[in-house]
Amino acid sequence: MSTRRFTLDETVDFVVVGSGAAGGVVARELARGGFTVLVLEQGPRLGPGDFEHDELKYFYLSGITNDPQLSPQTFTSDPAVRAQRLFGYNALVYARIVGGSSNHFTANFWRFHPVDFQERSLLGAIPGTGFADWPLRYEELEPYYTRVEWEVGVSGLAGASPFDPPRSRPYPMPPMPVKSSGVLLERGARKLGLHPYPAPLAINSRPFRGRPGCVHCGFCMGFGCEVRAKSSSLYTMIPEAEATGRCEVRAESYVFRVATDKRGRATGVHYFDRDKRERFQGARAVVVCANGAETPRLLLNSATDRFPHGLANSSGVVGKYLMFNQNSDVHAVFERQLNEYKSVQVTRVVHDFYDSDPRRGFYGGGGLDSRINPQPALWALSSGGDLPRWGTEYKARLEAFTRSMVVATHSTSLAVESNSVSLDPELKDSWGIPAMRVTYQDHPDDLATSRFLQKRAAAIMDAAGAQKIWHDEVAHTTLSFHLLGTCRMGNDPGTSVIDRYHRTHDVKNLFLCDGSSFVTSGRGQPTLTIEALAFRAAEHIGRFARRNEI
Amino acid sequence: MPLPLPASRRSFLLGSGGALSGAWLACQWPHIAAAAAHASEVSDSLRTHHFESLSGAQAADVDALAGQIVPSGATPGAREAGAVYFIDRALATFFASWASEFYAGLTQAQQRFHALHPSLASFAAARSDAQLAFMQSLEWTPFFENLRTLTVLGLLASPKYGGNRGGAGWKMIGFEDQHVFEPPFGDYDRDYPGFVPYPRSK
Repeated sequence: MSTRRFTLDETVDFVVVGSGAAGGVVARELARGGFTVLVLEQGPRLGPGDFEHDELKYFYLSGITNDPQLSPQTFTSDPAVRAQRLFGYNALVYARIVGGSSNHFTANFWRFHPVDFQERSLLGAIPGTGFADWPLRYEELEPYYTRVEWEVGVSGLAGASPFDPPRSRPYPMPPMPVKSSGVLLERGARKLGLHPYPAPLAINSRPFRGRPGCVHCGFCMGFGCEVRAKSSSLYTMIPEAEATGRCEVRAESYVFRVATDKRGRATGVHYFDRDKRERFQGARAVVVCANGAETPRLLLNSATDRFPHGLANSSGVVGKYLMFNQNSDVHAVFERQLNEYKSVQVTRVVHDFYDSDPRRGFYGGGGLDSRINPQPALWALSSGGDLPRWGTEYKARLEAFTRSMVVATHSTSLAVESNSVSLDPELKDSWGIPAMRVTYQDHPDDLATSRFLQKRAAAIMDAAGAQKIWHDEVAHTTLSFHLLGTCRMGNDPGTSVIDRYHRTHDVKNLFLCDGSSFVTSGRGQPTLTIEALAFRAAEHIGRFARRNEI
Repeated sequence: MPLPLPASRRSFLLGSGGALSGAWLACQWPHIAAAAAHASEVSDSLRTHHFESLSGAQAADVDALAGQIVPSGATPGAREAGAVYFIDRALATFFASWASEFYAGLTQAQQRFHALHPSLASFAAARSDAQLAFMQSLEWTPFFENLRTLTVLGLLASPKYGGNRGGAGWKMIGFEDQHVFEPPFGDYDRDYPGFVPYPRSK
């Protein structure tokens, strides 16, 4: 727990909004740099003993995620059609506890490839999209990828994939033990001349930095880790930030407005405490790491006379260019036991189709991995293809649980201006703050990429000897955990929200760092890149502060 | 008024056994006998259980409907797992927001069934073939979707929510409720020789 407590009349050096993948890194780095840091987190602080193997609670009752009853959203796929609430769920999902979504992520930890940062230059414009280069290159981010792998903790086998981007150091831990799904993916993919490789995961394959190795319980995706083997901010960056004696993590503190003065500088944040009392904490600078959904919402809810369209929104692009990662599943059943409910979700990955290839006739690329939805009910309610959904044949499908696996495809989502997070004109959350309105429709190329990858996944399963293979038609996305692109980075203040150092173009002492900073979506698994960006951002923010340039 | 109870699981199982081969029966008999005995206990339990949300008649029909979604057999189905108890608790508490739609759908289904079979007291009282035929007409309705979701959750969610009694659903699919496993996890990784690098690997 926090060793430092700030009073409400103190002005801290930095308020960091959000304690997840980015917030944890930024807090630790700034606190280690000698600054006072207050982290404000919407949700409660839980520990290993609070997490449970309870899929109903975590997947159906918003056990640790944003609750659609308390924090409702509206959704539309067509900007011309009024957004409506979705029945029983929100379109944009994130973990609402200390450590944020780094608690419940699957922990797939792919680096972006160099191409992700400069595809617009390599491939040219795509009409109707905001396809653009990042204002930085892979080479500039590489040292920070390495810091994440070594300081947060990632297991893997460096260089195993011929497509692995250049790296300055191997992984600090060996890869996790292979599962049967990984063996089968590898068997099928190698037969087809592809190059499956051991999955890099932010999960300890052996004791590392004071945390134990994984016990293979199987409850990674969607769950908090009960043994601290998953490299969540909760277990890595947050306690190290607090150990400096300069950082307080204040849970159940929901920031709803960034305050600004007449000069247009951020002066602190307004938030609701656990008793829904409105509070204010002054700060010399504010770093918003609230995720790709809540960061733009906070800026839009922070409008003033000086910033009538939302804070840091002179470009008008705050909330726009929302990206997910298109994805699909291919299901397969084998003759013998796989027992995929055991251990980590993924152990083998294929990146042969990572790059976009103009010969395919559409933009996009992605990766494949071996896995299953390991929790019984979630799996039982997933698609059964053309199999009956009830009765004796449905039961026979359920009885094949331990012989089943999935190849998941993860791919690009193009930046489209109308895909966005905005404020719903009527709906408010339980605190009386305007709720999020989500507008999203996959670009046709995103759907084409998923279909392309789905065919490859099915071919791999066939080559591996599956008894039965099926998949659903690729569908438009109405639910995502990958929340990207809504406060995009760029050199031009007219078309982007933050500069290459994560400083907002409009407010000198306001910084944003999380999935919202992304310019392109990558191919999936964005958290490693979010954390690498956070290490880099914190370094520059600290440098600016020491030079009195904030 | 007597509670309309479902047809005896024992009589159904014995009756359907007549169409099966003797060898299969000999092989499956211990499972069938156990399932039938369990089903009888389920019926007794239904009669005496104090439901929070469902009426007795509704509980009997929901139990029978759930039993068609994941039937009993050589391994337990939704009835043996007590899915109806989960559904009752869910509609009374954590899925209370589903309740009005669920009950409207259930009432409509009961009325339709009665119109088709005026001589039968209820869906639960019908023979399995009549139940099956009626289920097919329900399949693509919103009520069926809710019923199916609740049934599966009642079969496979944690027993602490009232269903999946004794971990029956987990046992049926082969899921072990453990916190620690060690490799090898399955048959295909047992003899994995190790990752072989590619010539182009770095």
